[in-house]
Amino acid sequence: MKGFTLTLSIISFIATILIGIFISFFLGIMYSFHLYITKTLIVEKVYFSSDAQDALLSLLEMRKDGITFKKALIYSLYENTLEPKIYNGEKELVYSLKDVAKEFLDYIYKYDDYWLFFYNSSTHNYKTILSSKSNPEKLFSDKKGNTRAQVPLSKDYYLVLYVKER
Amino acid sequence: MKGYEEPTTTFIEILTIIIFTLFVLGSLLMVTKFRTDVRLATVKRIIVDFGENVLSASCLTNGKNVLNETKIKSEFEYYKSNKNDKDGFSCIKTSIPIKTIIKTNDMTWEFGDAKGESFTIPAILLKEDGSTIPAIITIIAQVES
Repeated sequence: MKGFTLTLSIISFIATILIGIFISFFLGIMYSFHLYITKTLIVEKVYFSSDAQDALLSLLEMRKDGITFKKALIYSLYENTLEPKIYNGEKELVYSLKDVAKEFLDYIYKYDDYWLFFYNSSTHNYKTILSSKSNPEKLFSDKKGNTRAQVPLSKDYYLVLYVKER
Repeated sequence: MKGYEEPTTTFIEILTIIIFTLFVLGSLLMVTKFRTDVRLATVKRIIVDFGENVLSASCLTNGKNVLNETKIKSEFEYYKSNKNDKDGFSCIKTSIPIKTIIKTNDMTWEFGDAKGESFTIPAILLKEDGSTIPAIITIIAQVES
């Protein structure tokens, strides 16, 4: 009888440990899953993407000689140059997309790398407007840590901003 | 052998109770930590949402992402005479203290008073002479945990 009691004690001991490990494992998964949701959805999807998206939308509103960046983009596409000639009601001006973008992006992303370019999704061609480093294709080829925002300019044609933390 | 079994059984039972208690206490601690972290994530969401509201507030902007210098100066006057306003803006109401810093290359405005998690948002500032300059909005929210 006492041998039976000892066996029961050992079984209950092992069962307690197994159930405990299972509960800890379950709580651990829940905790990690919650961290995954917080990091992926709140930090990466909301925080970083909203940051790049807001930067791009703000850039579109930047003005030089009364002409907005978004208006200059249309002229740029039409004239197929990064320095379109635009008549502002008084005289014809040469609008440098690069200079205006540089003024904005250099201030906003002082400590980050960025790459602003036109992208054609049907031909997969791109045309760089400005980047913080000389070889942005290589820098942004590693997608880890990249944040992307884009605005459509016409069918299959986008203005894209890539940002990467240094 | 018979005299040996009884103390062993008692020892194993005591060990089982101790381990069970440890597991229960550990589980309670993890649940508490989980709840605390969920609350912290809420703070981040509050900051992001508030920042988006600032970006399109009628008393600060001309449109989404375009801050207006004249409106900001006017709001700053409002804040100086309404220091009890938790966010410092006449057109936004919050129930928690939130501090907003609008910074450009040569100007800085601070609304509200709070210490806690922060979040920055890019924007542009339309100056009184009609030109635009880049601006950074920093939102700081203070939430009691």
